[in-house]
Amino acid sequence: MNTAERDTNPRIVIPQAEPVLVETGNVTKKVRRRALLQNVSFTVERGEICGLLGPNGAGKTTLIRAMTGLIRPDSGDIRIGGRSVVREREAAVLHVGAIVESPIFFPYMTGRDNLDNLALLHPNLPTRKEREQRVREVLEIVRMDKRADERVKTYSLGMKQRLGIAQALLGDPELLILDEPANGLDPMGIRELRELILRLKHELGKTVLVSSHLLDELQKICDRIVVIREGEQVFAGSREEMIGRHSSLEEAFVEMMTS
Amino acid sequence: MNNKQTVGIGNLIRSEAQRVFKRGRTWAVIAVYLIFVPLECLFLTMMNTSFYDPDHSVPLNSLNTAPFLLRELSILMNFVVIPMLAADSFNGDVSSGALRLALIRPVSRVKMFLAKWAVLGAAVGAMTLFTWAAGTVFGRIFMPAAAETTLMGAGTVGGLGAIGFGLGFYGMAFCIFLALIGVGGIVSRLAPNPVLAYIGMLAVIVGGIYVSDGMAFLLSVSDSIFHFLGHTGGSDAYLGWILCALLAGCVIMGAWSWGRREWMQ
Repeated sequence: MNTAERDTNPRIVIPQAEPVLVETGNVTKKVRRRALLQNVSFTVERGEICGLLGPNGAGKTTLIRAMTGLIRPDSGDIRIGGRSVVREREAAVLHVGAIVESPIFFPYMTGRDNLDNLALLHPNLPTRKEREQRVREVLEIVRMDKRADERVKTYSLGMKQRLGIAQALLGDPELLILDEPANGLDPMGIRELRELILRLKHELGKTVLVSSHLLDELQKICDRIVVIREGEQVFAGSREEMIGRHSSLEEAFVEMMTS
Repeated sequence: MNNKQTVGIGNLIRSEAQRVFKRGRTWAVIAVYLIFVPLECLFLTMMNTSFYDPDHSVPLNSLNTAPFLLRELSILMNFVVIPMLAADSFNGDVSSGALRLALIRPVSRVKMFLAKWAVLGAAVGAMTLFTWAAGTVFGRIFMPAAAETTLMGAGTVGGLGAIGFGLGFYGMAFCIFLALIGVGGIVSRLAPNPVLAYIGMLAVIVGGIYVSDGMAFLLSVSDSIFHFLGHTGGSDAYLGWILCALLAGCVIMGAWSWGRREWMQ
């Protein structure tokens, strides 16, 4: 499918033949003259799990905000499925599901109500029947179906994280962006999360961009790693390339941060 | 699942309405207002007199009570109901970070702003309509019977004329309430949390009269409408134009602001 065809046919959203799903090019964002992101450029291919690494305040969440269209880069572009998040946000995020920072829900609603409410904002779920079915499916995927009718304010952080993944899956997105999804999870929860992300990749064919401080976990699941420090990208490549001569991702990361 | 690319405006409004009406505070505000409706009716029965403005009193009867009921309730509407609903809707979920879940979806932020306005407008419109119905029915049953009455600007009218005047009065009041919701949308954009948004709206309502006499309608809704409908001249003569300008200004500024905004919360 060529570009001209894609641009003239609104029903064709993502050209499946192209391997690159996410492309960030020289993304720069400054706030009050301070560069939160500077010339960040990397790609993520379809079906990959990409880990976004960096110390606190490195710019990971800022990058994720830019990728989901919550903020606009000062320069550079982010393309998802060939669509620019900067110029055509709605089309670009059509196949994106995300958790940005900690998942904060509407506390006056139950978990199911939250999902029902957000499902109304997905163009591919226009009827009540489709929405209800999809909400049931995503609740089963994250194993939250038993507690779905309780108010969100009674949930533990781990349950909120799982509900966060459920809301990200609502529109059946091709790309999942998960910002620190393991925050607040106990070891069993972290293991379940890892298995869930791998299941999403292998069984549902999702592409995942995940930011985390849990380097061991990222080493187990990621195909590609992007490292950011003080807003600047210091590495983008395969997991093997990053580990290189080191014994683990953690060792490589520490050296990268201290060099 | 199908491949539609845009969210229907109906679903957008439904989503916003769910968020508004699932909040306990929304129902608390509505309940307070609904409690005040019969209390104000009782007050009017006891007084049997009301005022077009501080200088002109009018005896109440079965035909002219409805506008004067809103005279009593518009303060509650402008100082409590609308500021609280607008601060919650335009600011509450934004400052808590919860609206982020909606903002990352393929939905136009301009439409989202307009949907918020539409939902609050519908809620306030329903309350206004209820007040008109309550005032009309209450007047017919409990106030001194009259075959005709004299209303400022309308002259002497019968039953149908009084209903028409009442509808015109309430229609103008609804337009003022809509404009105040729009002002709430703009103020909430600037305030960091719902409490400051609420205080900011009160500041606009009270401070408006220091900016221009033409803004007095935000503070004294019924006086301004009576003057406008009564063609008494003064700054209220331009109420219609001022309202149109305010509504248009709020639409343009709100849509621009929500379309351009950086969502850092």
